[in-house]
Amino acid sequence: MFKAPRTRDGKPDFSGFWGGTQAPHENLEAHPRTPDDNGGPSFVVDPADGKVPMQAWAEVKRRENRAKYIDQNAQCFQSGVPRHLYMGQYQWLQTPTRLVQLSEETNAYRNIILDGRPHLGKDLVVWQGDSRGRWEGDTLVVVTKNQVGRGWLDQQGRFITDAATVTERFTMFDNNSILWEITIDDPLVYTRPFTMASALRRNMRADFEIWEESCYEGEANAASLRNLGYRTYPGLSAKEAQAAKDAYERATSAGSSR
Amino acid sequence: MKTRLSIPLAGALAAALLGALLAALLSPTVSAHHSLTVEFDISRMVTVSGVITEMKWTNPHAWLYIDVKDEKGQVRNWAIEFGSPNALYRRGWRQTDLPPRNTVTVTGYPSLDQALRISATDVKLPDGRTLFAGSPIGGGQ
Repeated sequence: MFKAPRTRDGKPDFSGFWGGTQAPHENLEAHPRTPDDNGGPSFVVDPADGKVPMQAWAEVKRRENRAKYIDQNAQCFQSGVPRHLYMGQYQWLQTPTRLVQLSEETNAYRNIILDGRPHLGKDLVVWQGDSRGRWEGDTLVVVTKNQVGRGWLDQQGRFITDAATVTERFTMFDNNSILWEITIDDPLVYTRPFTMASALRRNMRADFEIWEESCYEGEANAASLRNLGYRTYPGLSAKEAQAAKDAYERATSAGSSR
Repeated sequence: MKTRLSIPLAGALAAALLGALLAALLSPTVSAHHSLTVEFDISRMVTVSGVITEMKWTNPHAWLYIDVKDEKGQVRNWAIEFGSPNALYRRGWRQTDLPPRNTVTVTGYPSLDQALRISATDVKLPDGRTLFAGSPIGGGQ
């Protein structure tokens, strides 16, 4: 049985440089290789069909997002959880009470608190969410709440609200690989919680470093996209999601009863 | 301490892991931080040659500006989008590779809004070398 390298306090040591191995930012579901996309298998492992279990109203909303709004990454906003770990270069710093995930892209960081304190209240919502971790054996379980609800999960416009709970499980299965499982629970948007999984691989390049990526300094895509009619995605709170869901269901119910 | 997984390493999860590991082994890291199909026409490629007026090593994309003479002989300044400076640097690019007043040839995808803008896929440098542009399409990060 593999035994992960240890920190001084005896926990699995996730310190080091890591990177993703798939392209879920393009599409959470299986998608072909194109000039724009790497393509690849579905990121979704539960349900077993690899499909994201969107509610009907949310699928309509997803299509609207894709047609009308600018992906937050194009505007250099933070990616949110779990998207900030999909791609790019990362350095993780671990102490007994913190796992800090530094991301080169957008200079983003996530501070996962491990000392057992409770989550923030509901008043403060932030792009990278409020992450609290605990150990279950050699697996680090991280629960993230309080995301701002303005981020998409992929370039197809799949979204979460500010009521979403994201639960990640990080398990090292060899010295250079982490199994990363992500369960998303956002009951207004999805028909049930769904789980995605992939491997994170250690960056083995000698003397590797991550560098500043001050994304705003030269950002020019948003202006071009506005010229083409796209707008900044305003996000969707749970309250707004409930209203949109109710409106959709009233409309479809009225349509079906005619 | 024994490693426990929430889902047995079988079925869909094993397939996902295998796919991920094969992807890591078999293909180069290619990632764009946002989709370019909404901004560039990836159904066709264009090639332009022109004189370098400026190279900006800015994030999230580096930009090259070149003066290109059109069919009427009028000179117009084109903007060429590359990947991030970090990506270019890791691929071996240096700021001295694209000195002003030198001529380069750029291939890439044209802007959908008809602006004089290209998302570059490769660039032929003044010394004859061709460099992969680290464009958002095909490897910006």
